[in-house]
Amino acid sequence: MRKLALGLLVAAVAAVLGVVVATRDGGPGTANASSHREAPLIAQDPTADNTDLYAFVSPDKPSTATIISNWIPGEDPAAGPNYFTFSPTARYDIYADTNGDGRPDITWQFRFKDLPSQLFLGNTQQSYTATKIEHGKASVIGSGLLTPPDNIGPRSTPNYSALAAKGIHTLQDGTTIFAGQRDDPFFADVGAIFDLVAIRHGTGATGGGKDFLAGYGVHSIALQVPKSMLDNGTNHVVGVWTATDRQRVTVHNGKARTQWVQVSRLGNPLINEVIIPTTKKDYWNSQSPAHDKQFAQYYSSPILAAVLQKLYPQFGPYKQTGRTDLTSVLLTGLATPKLNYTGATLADELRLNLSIPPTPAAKENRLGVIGGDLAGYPNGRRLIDDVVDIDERVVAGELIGHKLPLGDGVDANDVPNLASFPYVAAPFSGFENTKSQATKTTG
Amino acid sequence: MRRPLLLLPAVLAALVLPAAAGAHPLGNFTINHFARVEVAGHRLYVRYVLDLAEIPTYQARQQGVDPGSYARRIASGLHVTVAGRPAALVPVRHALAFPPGVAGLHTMRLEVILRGPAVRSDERVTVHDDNYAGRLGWKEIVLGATAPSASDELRAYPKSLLSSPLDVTSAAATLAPTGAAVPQLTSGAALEAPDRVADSGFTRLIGRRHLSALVILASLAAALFWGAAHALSPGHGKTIVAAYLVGKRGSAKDAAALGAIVTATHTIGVFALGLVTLGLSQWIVPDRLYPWINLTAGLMVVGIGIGVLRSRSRHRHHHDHDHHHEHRSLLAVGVSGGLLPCPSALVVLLAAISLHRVGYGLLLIVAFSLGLALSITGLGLVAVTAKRVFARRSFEGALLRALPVASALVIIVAGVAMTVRAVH
Amino acid sequence: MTGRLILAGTAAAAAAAVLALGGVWRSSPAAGAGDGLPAAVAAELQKGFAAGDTVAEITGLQAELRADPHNAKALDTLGLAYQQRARETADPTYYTKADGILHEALQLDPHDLIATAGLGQLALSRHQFRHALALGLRAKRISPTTAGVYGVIGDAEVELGRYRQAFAAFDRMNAIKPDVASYARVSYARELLGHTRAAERAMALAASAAVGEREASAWTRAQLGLLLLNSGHAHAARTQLEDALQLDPDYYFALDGMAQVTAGLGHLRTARAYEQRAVAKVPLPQYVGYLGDLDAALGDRAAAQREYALIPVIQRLLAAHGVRNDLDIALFEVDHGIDLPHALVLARRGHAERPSVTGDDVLGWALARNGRCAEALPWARRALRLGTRDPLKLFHLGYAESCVGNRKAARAFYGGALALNPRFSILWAPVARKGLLR
Repeated sequence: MRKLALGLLVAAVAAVLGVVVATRDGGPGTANASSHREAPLIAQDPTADNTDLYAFVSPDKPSTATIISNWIPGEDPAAGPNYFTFSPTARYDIYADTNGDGRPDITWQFRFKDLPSQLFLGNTQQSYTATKIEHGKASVIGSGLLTPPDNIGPRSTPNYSALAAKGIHTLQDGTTIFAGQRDDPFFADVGAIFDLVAIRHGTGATGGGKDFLAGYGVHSIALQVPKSMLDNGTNHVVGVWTATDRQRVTVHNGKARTQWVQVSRLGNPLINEVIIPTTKKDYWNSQSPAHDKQFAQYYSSPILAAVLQKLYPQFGPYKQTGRTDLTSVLLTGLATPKLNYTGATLADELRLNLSIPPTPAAKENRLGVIGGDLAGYPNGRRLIDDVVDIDERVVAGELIGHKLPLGDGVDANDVPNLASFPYVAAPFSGFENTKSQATKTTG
Repeated sequence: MRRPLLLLPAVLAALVLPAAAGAHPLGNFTINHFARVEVAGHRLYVRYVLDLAEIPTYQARQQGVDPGSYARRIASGLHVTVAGRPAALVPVRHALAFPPGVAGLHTMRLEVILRGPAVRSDERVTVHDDNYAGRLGWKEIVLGATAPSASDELRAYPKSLLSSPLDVTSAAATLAPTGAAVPQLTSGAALEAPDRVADSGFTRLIGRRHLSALVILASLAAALFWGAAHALSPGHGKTIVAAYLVGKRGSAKDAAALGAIVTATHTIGVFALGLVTLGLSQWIVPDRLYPWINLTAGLMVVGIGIGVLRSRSRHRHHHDHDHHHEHRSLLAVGVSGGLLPCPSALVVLLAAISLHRVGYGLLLIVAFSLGLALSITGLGLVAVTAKRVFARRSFEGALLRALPVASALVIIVAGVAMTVRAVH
Repeated sequence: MTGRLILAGTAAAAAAAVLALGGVWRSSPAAGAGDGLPAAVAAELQKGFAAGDTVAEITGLQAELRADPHNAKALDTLGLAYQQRARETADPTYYTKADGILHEALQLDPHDLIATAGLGQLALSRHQFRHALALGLRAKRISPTTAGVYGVIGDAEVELGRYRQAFAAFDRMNAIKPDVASYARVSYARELLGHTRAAERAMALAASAAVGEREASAWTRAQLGLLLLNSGHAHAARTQLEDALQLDPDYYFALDGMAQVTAGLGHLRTARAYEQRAVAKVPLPQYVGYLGDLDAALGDRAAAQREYALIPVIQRLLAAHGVRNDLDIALFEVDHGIDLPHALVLARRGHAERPSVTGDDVLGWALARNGRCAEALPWARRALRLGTRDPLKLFHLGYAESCVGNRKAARAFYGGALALNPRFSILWAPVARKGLLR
C-alpha cells in the first residue's frame, strides 16, 4: 500500500510539472477577439459557377444546333443592389469535341465588361467579346455585343421582352448568339429528390413536388450554329462541355502575364453534385475531359446506387459496382442502342447526335431516350428533359433491365420555354418577385 | 425504525440528480428583449423584459440607470396597433435587478408593465418592436397571457446546436378580453434569474480579480463545496462504489480509502488531460479523447466487476477474504471512480494556465477533487450503514447472502452501460 | 463450479449486451456515406442558392438535421454556415454552435474534409494558431487537391511568423482555384511585402470574384479601402468604403473602416459617428479604444474615459472565456500610457502566442515606451523585415530610433509614415510631425 501511495504521488508531481511546462497557447476560446486578418474562406463564387448545359437540334430550325450554357445558381431577381452580371474578371467557355478524343476541336470564349455607369442604379447591361478557336487559331467573331439588362422592374426595365430581343445578335460566321439574364430552366424538388410516397404506392413519381428553383434566374450564353460547323460527317456526334476560368495570381509576381485556371466545368448534368466526392471536387473542376479516365471509378461504383439500396431495398438489389452502363452513357456515349458513341476515350461530355431529328412538340417525352424519345437526354439535352428523374432511373438500373418509376415529382419548369431562340424563358422581374409566388411581368 | 428505509431513496436520488446549470448562453455584448402582449380583463397590457449582457450593463451603469426613462424609451419603441389603430402604451410598473454574470461582472434585468388601450371584443393586434434594432441579441414577442416563451422570458436561453437566436421583431394575432389577472412583475430572487447561472460557481473562482490570502482560503473552501456538490451529478462511480461497499463487508476505513484513491485519481486525471490538451494539441484533437477515456473507464469497470464477481463467488462460503486481492479491487474501484475528469475541473485548469495562475488553479482542483471524494465516501458510508441496518432484519437473510454477487453484477452492468455510451 | 458458470454467463451476457446494442458501432463506410445522400444531393444543389442568404441556408439545414441528425453533409454545411454567420454578425455563440456541429460531423467520419478544415478555420478565429495549423495539415492529408486547406494552413503560418511557408500555401491555393478567398490572401501577402499596388490589384480581383456573396463583397471592398487609405489615396478609399456599406449597411467591419477613412480625411465627427455604430455592433477592444481616441480628439474627455474604462472589462470577459487578447490589450495600454510594465508583460505573452510581424511590432513598441529603447530597436526592425509599408510600424521604428538618439533615422521613418498617410493615427501622427521638426 505504501508503494502504491508513493507511486500515485510521483505520478501527480509528474503530471503537475508536465502541465506547468506545457503552457502553450490558450485554452478553449469562444470569441473572435482580435485584429488578425480574417479573409473569407468559404464564400461561393456564383458568377463563375456553371449550373446547366443544354445541346439540341433546334426544333424550329433543324439545320442548326443550339448550345446553351447557364451560370450563376439561385439568382434572386430581387437581389438589388447586389445585382448579378457576368464577371468581368472571368472567362466563359464552351467547347465542342467532334472526333471523340476528349479534346476541344472548337472553343468559344467570352469576356464581359461592365458598361461605365453606376451598377447600383440598376444598369446591369454589359458588353462582351466572343472569340472562336479552331485548329489552334483564335479569331474574334463578335465584339462590343450587348447583353440586355437584368429584369429589374417596370420602371427601370420597361417592356422587357423587347429589351431582351435586342440581345440576340447574328454574327458574320452564321452564328446567332445571346448572352444575358434568363429564367432558370432547371426544375427539381431539391428537398424531396426521391419520391418516397409514389414508390410505396408503386405508381411511380406522379408529380406533386415543388420546383425549388421556381422564380429564380440564371445568366445564359446561347449559341445557334449551322450543323455543318459541328458535324464530323461520320457518326454525326459532337460532344460539348462548358467551363469557367479565373486569372491566377502569385504572391511575388505582380506583373506576370495572365494565366487562366479552370475553376468550374460541366458536361453531363449533376456529375459534380452526385458522382464526384467532396475531396475531389476542386480537382475535377480543374480538369479537362480528356483526362476523365482518372475519375472512371466514381462513375462505375456510384454512391447513388448504394443510397437506393438503403432507401428502397424491397425493389433491389441495385448493382453498385461494375456499372459499365453508366460509364458508357456518361463517358463514351451509347453504342447499343446506336445513339451517340464517340469512341473509347472516357470523357464527360454531353453528346449530341446531329443526325437524329428533333421530336415534334406533341410527342416530346421528358424522360428522353428511356421514355422512347431519341431526341432527348442523354442524346444531348433539351430544356424539357427531366434529368433528375432520368438519372435516378438510370442509376437504379434502367439500362440493365432494372426499371423503377423513380422521380422527384417535378416534371417541368414553372414557366414554358420560348418557341424560338434563345428558347430559355425571360427572367422574372425583381420588382414583383417574391420567390414563393412569382408573378411574371408581361411588359 | 423507519429511518434506514429513508436512506435508500436519498442515496438513489443522489445518483440521478442533474448537474448544476451551465455557462452564459449568449454573447457578452448582447441586448435581449422580450415582449408579451396580453389582455387582462378588458385592457391590453405589455409585459416587457430587457436583458442586458455584461458589456452593455457596464456601459449603462457608467451613465447611471434610471429605470423610468428606460421604461419610457421602451414604450416609444414598441408599436402596437389594436384593430388597426395605434395604441398608446404607458409604463405603470417596473423592476430592476443586476444578476451576476461572468468574470465578476453583472448583467441587467429590467421588467416593465405597460398599460395599453381597452379591448372590448376579439380584436386584431399587431406588434412591432423597434427597440435596440441594430443590436445583436435575442428578440422575442409572444401574444397572449399563456403563450409559451422559447426563452422562459429571457431566463433560460435554449442551447441546442440546431437553433439560432430568435429574431422576432413583429407579430400579430387576434386577442379577446379574458378573465386573466393584470400581469405582475417578477419579484425577489426570481428577478435575479437564478436559472440562468452565468457560469458554474467553481469555474468562477479562477477568474477572481484579487487573490489575497483570505480570498484564496475562501476559494479553496468553495472549491471543496463545489466538488462535493458535483459528486451528486450523474457519474463518478457512485453506483459502483456503493455497490462495491455493499457487497463487501465494507467498513468505514474502506470507504475512507476509496475516498482518498478517488481524490488522487481525479486530480491526476485532470492534470493528465490538461497536459494532453495543451502539449499534444498539435497531433491529437483533444475532444476526441473523451470517448476513449469513457471507453477505457467502462471496460475497466466491467473488468473490475468480473474480478469482484469471481472473488466473491469463489469465496462465497469462506469467510476469510483474500486481503491482497480485495486491496487491489478496492484500488481499482477507487480509480474507476475518479478516472473521468470533470469538464469543469478541466476548464479551471486551462483558464488557470491562460491567466497564469497555475499554482492557484492546481490548488483549486485538489480541493475540488477532495470535495468530490468526500461526497463519494459519504455516500459509500451511507450504503455501508444501510446494508448493516438491513443485515439486522432477519427476513433479509437470503437477500443478504446474494448481495455480494448481486452487487458485483450491478458493477458489471454499470460498466457495460458506460462502455456502450462511450462507443455511441 | 456454479461460480464459474455464473462468471461465464455474466461475461457472455456483458459481451452480448455490448454487441446487441451494437447499433452504436459505426456502420460500414459505404452505407454510412450513403445514409444522408439524398439530402446531401439536395444540400449540394441548395448550396448555390444560399449565395448571400446565410440565414435562409441555416434555417433549411437546421430543419434537415432535425429530421435526420446523422446527415454528415448537412452537418458540414451547417458548421460552415454558422461560421459565416459569425463573420456577418460577430455573434460568438455561432462559433460555439459551429464547434459542436463540426465535431458531430467528425464523429460520423474522422476523415471528413470539410469538418476538419472547418474546425481549422474555427481555431484560427479563436487564436489557436498551432492547433489550426495541425488541423490544416490534417485536412491537406485528406485532400491535397482542395484549395481551402491551404487557406487554413497559410493563415496559421502567417500568425506564427512563418512567411515563406505561408506565401507558398497562398500561391498553391490560388493555383488550384482562384476565387475571393485565394485572391484576398495573395493580396495580404503582397501587402506584407510592401507591394501595395499589386496588393490592390489582387484585392480588386477578390472583390470581383465575390459578386453574389454579400459579406465577402463588402469585406473585400472595405479591405481595399484600407489599403488605399494607407498608401495615400484617401478619396479612392472612401469610394470603396461607400460601396461596401451600400452592399451591407450594418457591417461592423465596413463601419470601422469608414470611420478610419473619414478620420483620414480629417472629418473627426463623422468618423466618430461611424465608429459608434461599429462599437454598438461589436465592442472589439481596438474599436472601443479608437472610439475613445476620437472622443478625446473632439474634446469629450468624459466620453473617452468611459470608452477606455470598457477595455479592462472586455479583457476580463475574454479571460473568463479562456481567450487571450494580449497583443490588443498591450497595444491599448502602451498607446494610452496605462500601466506600462504590465503592458510589457502582456506584449511578451502576446508575442509568444503570435510571433508574427504584428507581435514584433507591439513588443518593440511596448519596450520603447517602457524606456528600454536599445531592446526595442531590433524588434521594431524585425516588424518591418518583410518590407511592409505600414505607417504605424514605421512610426514605431522612428520612435525607437529617436529614443536611442538616432535623430536622422527617426526623421526618415517619421517622414515615411506621414508620406503614406498624413493622418495615420489620431494619437501619434502629431508626434511624428513634431519629431520631424527636431
